[in-house]
Amino acid sequence: MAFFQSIFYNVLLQFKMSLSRPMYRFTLIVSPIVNTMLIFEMFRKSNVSDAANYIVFGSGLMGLWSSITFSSIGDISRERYIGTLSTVYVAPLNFNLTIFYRIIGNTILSSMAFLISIISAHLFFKISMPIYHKYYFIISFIMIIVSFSIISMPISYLMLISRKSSLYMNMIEYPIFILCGFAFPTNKLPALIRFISYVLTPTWTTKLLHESLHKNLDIYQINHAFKETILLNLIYCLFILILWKHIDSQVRKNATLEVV
Amino acid sequence: MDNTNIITITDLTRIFKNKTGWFSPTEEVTALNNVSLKIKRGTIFGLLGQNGAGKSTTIKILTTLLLPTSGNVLIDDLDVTKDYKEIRKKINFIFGGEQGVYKRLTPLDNLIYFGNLYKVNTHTLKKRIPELLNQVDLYDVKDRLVENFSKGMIERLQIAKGLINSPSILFMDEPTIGLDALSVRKIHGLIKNLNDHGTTIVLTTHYLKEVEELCSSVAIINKGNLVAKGTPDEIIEKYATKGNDLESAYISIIKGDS
Ligand SMILES: Nc1ncnc2c1ncn2[C@@H]1O[C@H](COP(=O)(O)OP(=O)(O)OP(=O)(O)O)[C@@H](O)[C@H]1O
Ligand SMILES: [Mg+2]
Repeated sequence: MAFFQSIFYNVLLQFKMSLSRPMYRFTLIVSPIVNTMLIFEMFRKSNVSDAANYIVFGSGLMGLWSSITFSSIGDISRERYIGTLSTVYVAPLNFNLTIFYRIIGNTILSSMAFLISIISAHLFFKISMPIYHKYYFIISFIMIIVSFSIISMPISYLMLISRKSSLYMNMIEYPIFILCGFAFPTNKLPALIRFISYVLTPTWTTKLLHESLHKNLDIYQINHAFKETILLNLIYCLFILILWKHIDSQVRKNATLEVV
Repeated sequence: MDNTNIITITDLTRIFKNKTGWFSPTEEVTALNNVSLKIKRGTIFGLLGQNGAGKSTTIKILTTLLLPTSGNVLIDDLDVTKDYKEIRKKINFIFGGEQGVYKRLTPLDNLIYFGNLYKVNTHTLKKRIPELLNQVDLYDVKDRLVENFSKGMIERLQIAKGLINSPSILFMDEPTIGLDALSVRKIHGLIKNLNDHGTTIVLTTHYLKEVEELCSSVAIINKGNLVAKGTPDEIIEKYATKGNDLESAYISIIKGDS
């Protein structure tokens, strides 16, 4: 019980921390609106059958990922500059737990991007999305939150070991949009880079989301996407454990917690 | 007073490896070179030296932020390399200047967040935070955003942050940098008061008057080497040439060493 209380409390604190930053508020609110317009224009003359899904949920996913890169992942490099990273790192609360709380908080908060995309698609383009299968939709949405949280962990750790992390943060924002099929289906990508998509969980959660929105569900496809998501998440968790062991000593050896 | 050593540093060396460009070779900087030092429990200890002497590096090793390259450092008989988790519960640190706090939050929220990071339970925190805010004279502004604070106020908030876990050792890296005379006096009052209540304080500074006022023992490092240690009086007696103050002693030590 105390454990859940502590999670709840820390997640609330994280909401407060993130919302206190104008840059975060801007990313959370403005980027889904702009993305909705952008994807609408992209699909205007196309004959992709589920274009509406891309316009509404694609922009939501892009907004979610942008908010995550600028909060959970970006926090590390920002806090390095404001000088709080060292305290956060050495304080007795396990750093993995600190990061975990932050990521959960930010991912939940950032999923507001979906709401904003839904509203803007409706307001600007009169697009509304019927949800035929409530439970499938809810499950795939939860999988999105879980998977985006898990993938943020190793990336946050990598930010720790280099003082150039703000550069990397900007570098990972767009490739994920493209590789994971947020704005257009991954089968439009050249075959050579498609295998990268397959090892990224957001690709599968995006697929799961799209499948769950169809009027006639393809249970085989849903099962497949679901299994891939679970499997990759497990592999990521294993990777996180290995990575952490390595990083904890590197950080103190190479003095990357602060700028000199 | 208890006369045991709370910190024991033996042959401490720290080397930084810097890479300046992709194809340039790594350059090595020896920030600390074979430093040995003991700090007594319950004292205010001052670490002096020119810019780049290695003061902050020493503090960072003592606070488990950095690993030593070689040598041995014990804090309360715990080894900084191995027992860092235990050490972290007993200490806290603050750095001077405007860094180290969340400026977009209020002092109250800052302290709640840091209290949480230091695993102080909610019940204790509810009592301790108002006490600390009163102690550092920030109670009346506890709900204002830190970004509107003066340097002196930020430094006092830092001190409150440094005391959130009631540490037995508080490390302070240049706590009075850039502050006006009255703010400095306030900080000095806080430091003395803390020390009266048994907290060991290790501070670095460039103000020699500050050392004379606060510290019962000092060490001077120059280019990574320990060049003098003792009480301020001992150092003055041994090294001062003109006048009878620490500044004169300090200058002759640094000049004599280069
Ligand atoms: N992270 C780092 N990477 C590379 N070199 C470093 C790093 N931190 C410190 N140094 C180098 O180590 C030496 C000692 O630096 P340190 O910060 O300990 O000095 P200082 O005594 O605190 O100086 P100041 O009075 O300017 O604060 C300097 O030459 C500095 O350039
Ligand atoms: Mg320094």
